[in-house]
Amino acid sequence: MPDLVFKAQALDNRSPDHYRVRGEDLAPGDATRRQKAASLLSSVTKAGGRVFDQDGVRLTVHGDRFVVSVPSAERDVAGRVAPILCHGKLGAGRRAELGARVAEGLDAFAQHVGRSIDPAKAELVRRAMATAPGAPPARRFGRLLWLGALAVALVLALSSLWSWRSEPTPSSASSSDPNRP
Amino acid sequence: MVWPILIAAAAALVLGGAATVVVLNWDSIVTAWRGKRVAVLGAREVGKTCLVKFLSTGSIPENYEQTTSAEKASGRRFSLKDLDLKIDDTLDVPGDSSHYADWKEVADRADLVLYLLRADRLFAGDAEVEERIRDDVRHIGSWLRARTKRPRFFVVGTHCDLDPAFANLTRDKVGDYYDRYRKLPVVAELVSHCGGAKHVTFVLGSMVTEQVAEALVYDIFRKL
Repeated sequence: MPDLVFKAQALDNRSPDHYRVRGEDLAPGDATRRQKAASLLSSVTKAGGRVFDQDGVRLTVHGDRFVVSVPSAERDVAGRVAPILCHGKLGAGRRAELGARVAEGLDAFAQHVGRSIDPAKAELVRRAMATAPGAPPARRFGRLLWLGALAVALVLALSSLWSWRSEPTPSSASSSDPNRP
Repeated sequence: MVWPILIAAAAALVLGGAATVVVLNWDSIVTAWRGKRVAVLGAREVGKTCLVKFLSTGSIPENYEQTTSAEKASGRRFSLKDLDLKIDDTLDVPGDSSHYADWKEVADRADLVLYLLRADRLFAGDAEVEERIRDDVRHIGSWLRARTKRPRFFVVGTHCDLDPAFANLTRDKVGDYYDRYRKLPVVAELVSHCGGAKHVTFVLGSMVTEQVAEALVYDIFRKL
């Protein structure tokens, strides 16, 4: 899972939350990287759009990044639903492959932190990922597209101006007439 | 010839006066137009989502879920007894300290910062809760000091229904209960970090049912 970030809040609501970033479990004292991972997740969930929401499985997409949230079978000490989150990039690959990677990653992370995910929820994660929209064109490509369109428009405008100026007007035609008396 | 000059002078005076009033009350006008920006902060399991949901929809959640990532919460206009309230969109933020960046974001744009803490656990002398509050207020205090126009800051003690002393409280003993709360060492530290007693308002209550949540919210906005 080289590009995925996982998060689960501790069930006792006192211990540090669990984070796994690109396959590495973050130590409780690694405040900088934990905050960075938290901000990464929040940047999608607070600005993105919900594209899938069924039986507690939610998929939020913002640009080319997604956060999928799945409730674990266990609840916290207050009896609350305790979801596990996964952040990643949609990319251009096949959605089915991405969905399988995300579901497997969530299951492995859940087991690592002493939790479990119901197989039906894991299947919903795969379905959610299959419904994810295509990744939007990269910003740089978008900019190039705009620049190209602007250049074409400029060339067209200049060429029409040139042809308009070079057309002989009646007065200029008569003044250059060599047979003029 | 004199009348046009007099009319122009009167118009200029009226316009000038109106412009001055607008400039002097700009913040209030903007707040009245877009609604109050409320930041709800606090550690895990203090009731942030419950309060945000109440402000956003008028009801408390039927099923509770850990808030693991910052979520949008829409604002609304509503009446609460004699109060007409307009709340702007906000964020429901997670309680873990790794989400301080989300806390800061929502606190930096807020007109009103509500810091929630478990009053029942403080009264029970929970050292972990005290330590977490110290850490939180170090951050919140610095964010508040950095603001040119300081937002109103409330410390909202929740889960009071779990404290037997609060459950059996009679009206004439409410003041004593508040005094006991204010004198808790960590609460005194909190006040000192957040600019002194004149900058901190206390509210105590619970959100165990919609009725008591409404009473708590009313108490907050009544004290604004």
